Amino acid sequence: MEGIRKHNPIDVPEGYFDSLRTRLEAIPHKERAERGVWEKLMPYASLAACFAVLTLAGNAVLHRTIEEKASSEDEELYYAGLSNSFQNELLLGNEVIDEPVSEDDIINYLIESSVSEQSIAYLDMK
Amino acid sequence: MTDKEIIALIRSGQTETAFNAIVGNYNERLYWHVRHFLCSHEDTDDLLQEIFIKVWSGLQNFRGESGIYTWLFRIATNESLNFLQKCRIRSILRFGSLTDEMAQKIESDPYFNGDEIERELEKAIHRLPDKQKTVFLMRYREDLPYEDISEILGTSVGALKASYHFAKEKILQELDIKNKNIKLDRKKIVKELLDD
Repeated sequence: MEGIRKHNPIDVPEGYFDSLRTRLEAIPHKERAERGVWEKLMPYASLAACFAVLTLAGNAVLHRTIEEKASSEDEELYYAGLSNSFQNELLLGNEVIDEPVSEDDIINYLIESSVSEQSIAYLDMK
Repeated sequence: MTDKEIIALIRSGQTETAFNAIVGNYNERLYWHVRHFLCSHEDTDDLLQEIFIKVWSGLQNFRGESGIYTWLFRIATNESLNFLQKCRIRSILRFGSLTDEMAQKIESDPYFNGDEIERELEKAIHRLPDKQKTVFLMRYREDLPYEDISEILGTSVGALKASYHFAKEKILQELDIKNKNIKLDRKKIVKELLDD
């Protein structure tokens, strides 16, 4: 043993440094190609990201609308439980605000409200 | 091509020519630098690719404040130590130790052509703490001057000499224990280690 220090106890496969040099020199081309692919994919990736955000936002809005609709359906069911006359009163009450009421409307309303024909005739004469 | 010429190429925007010059000048030296840390040809080959990818991406911003040589060895040293740190964590997760893993790598390395003393010496080096191991490998295996190691590691020459001294003492102690089993000629080893 001439001396540990002067002797490197490690070998490399034959011709390794030549192939290493070739592979290392290819790094710039490889990196540029990879960057090129990414740059080409970038607009599509951005578009996909926008689409994903819009889908999520749309889904959230839709979910909220369904919940609101469900609660208004509950209300409808509640009103359906009320008497027809009271409901009609409510509906007519709304219409009064918007449109002028004709004489025929009043007569129809009285008929629907089971007011006797004599009473209607009496009011009409007045 | 000299480092100054390479820096001039980088400054004139000819980064690819500069990179190829760096590969030509330093691929072998950096291989050995990394190989002494990793004790495995395959790991060294993989890490060397990563190191040169970092060099390529860093070349665009290289201002030449430190020399090419210092810059390259700094990247290679940091990457090697990071690699060992990852191995250490992996070993701990497998209820093992990095020292055992390195010893196993040295034992099974098909490219190790040294005798038993050299194998024991290699194992002893890899039992050292990272800082001491780094200084010892750079000084003992690569024969780098303390001034260069100081620039690469950002440590004073005095601190490096102290580190090397402690590393050497530890290795000698370890080899002394081993000597009893494998009947090594301790005087020869001591002479080699002390003959700086």
